[in-house]
Amino acid sequence: MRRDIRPVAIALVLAALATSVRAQSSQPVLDLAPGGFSETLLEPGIKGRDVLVDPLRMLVGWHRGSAAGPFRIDQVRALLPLAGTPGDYCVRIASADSRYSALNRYQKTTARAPAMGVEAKSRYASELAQQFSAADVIIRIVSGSTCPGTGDAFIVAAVPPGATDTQKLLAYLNVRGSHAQISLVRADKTLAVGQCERPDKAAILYSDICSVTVSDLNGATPEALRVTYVNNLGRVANTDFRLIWGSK
Amino acid sequence: MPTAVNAVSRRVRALMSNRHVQARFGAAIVAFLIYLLWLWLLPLPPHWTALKATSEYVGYRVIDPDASTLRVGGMFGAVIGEQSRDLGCVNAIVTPAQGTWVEYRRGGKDQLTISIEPFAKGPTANMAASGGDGGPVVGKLQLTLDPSCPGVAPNRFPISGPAAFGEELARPGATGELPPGLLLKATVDVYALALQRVLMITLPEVVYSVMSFDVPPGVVVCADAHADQTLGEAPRLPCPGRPASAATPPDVAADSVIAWNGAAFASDGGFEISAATNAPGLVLQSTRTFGQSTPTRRIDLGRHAQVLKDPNLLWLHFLVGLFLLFLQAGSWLTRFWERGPDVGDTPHRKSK
Repeated sequence: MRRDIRPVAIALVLAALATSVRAQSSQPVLDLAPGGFSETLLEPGIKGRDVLVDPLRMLVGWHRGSAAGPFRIDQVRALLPLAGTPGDYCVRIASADSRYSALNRYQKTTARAPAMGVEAKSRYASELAQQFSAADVIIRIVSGSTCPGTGDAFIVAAVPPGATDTQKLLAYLNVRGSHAQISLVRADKTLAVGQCERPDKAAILYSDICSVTVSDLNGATPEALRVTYVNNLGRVANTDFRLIWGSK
Repeated sequence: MPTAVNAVSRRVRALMSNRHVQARFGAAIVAFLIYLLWLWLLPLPPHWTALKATSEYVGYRVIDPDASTLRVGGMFGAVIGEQSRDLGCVNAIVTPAQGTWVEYRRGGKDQLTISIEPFAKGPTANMAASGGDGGPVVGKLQLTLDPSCPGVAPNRFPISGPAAFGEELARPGATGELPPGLLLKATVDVYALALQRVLMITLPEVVYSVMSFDVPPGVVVCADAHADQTLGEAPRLPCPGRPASAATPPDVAADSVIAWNGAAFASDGGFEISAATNAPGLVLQSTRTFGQSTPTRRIDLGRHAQVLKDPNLLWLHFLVGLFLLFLQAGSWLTRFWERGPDVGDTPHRKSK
């Protein structure tokens, strides 16, 4: 009777060892971080359509405060902290009707206590002041040594001439054919949610003005401006623009 | 030549110095002024504007949710709002809420989007899904054609409210692709009902063509309610569109004056549109066509055309003119019969 049980016991032990080895070999070298497994599978239904390729075409401008009065180009300011920020920038100043556009590279000043102005040597300065109100001109300041910049650039808030209501941050978006929503985020946590609407005046440069109030941040400093929109495939998509947060 | 001019001038001066002629001339002026006043006081004729267009874009503000209902299938839904989310494939009856802005865009066979945007934070639409899991939608709703979704995409799209046909050319967005939006071609035909009654006389019921013209491609066509404006002046408000930040809440009564009724039919290169409106004015809006300073042109569709085109009014003019001619001829013949050929209030006769 004992002789009959021995091979069976050996077989059971070997089976248990094999199972253990197999279990060990399937253990991943990278464990999934807390937060779950996020993935997207795009249906093959819409062929030949791509998703976002140039995010900066979407973000036309990023302002702190609502502009007022005539557009005086020498009064454009940037909320750029001097410490710990990149040295090169690209500034685009363009009118809402696309009649005026200036795209120029800039370098951060070496002066110790500079004013927050953006140097402008425009030969059209007086015409701009006569023909455009400050609210009709949109400014975008991005970091980087190339112009108009890349999608991973840092965005600096511009203070338009005659800015009032400086508790308001305004994002000018070109998301024609879609809807948009903005939020300010830090470490993937939403700090404040904005609201997007059609501009009051006809604008060729952008389709939506989105505003968010600084006081909604409750003193926190956001890391990115998140734009939520519907992409070409009809899906909700997010694009984050990294921010350089400067105070007045 | 100066001698002849002087002779005519002398003759006119002599004629005008005659008291009888003066009285007749004064009476003619008064009659003409009364006639002009009568023309001015004529009621605006019932008229309608028919638009036949091929456009990549149509947008309108909903005044009748039931008339704006869509049977949606084969499309993917997404909502942008405080809680943005994908709805997945949509196979449902979608009824936009009153006052929402509905947009249809089509750039080709595989490109179709329906967008519904509420005013302020109002309701967007109600979705009655086949599985019974529909309900009200809050936020901006976008439906995109997706062949991988089950069901049949809609082919006929209702237009029932103040509408904008076409969108001005703008810069492409992040994908570098220009979203469908252009008005490719359009023809406007305006018709009116002829004047039907003058004093005790009933005139035949006639519909006449007031005007017909081709719209320049790339403009935005919409209706306008400001009947007091004259031809060519820019309207106070541009064409209706998505809810703007400073916009007043939609007013159904005001909207119904400039409402269009019709449908857009999906074709390979956009929508084939057939729509009509009773609005008193039409607006063509384009900064590229009409310039930056006056980017809109308003066309008055009512009173001006009536005087020149109403067949009953033209016949009336003709008959009255003929009557006056016969009256004058009869008067002259009577005098001729009584006094011989040398009759009439001529200076020559007076001098005798």
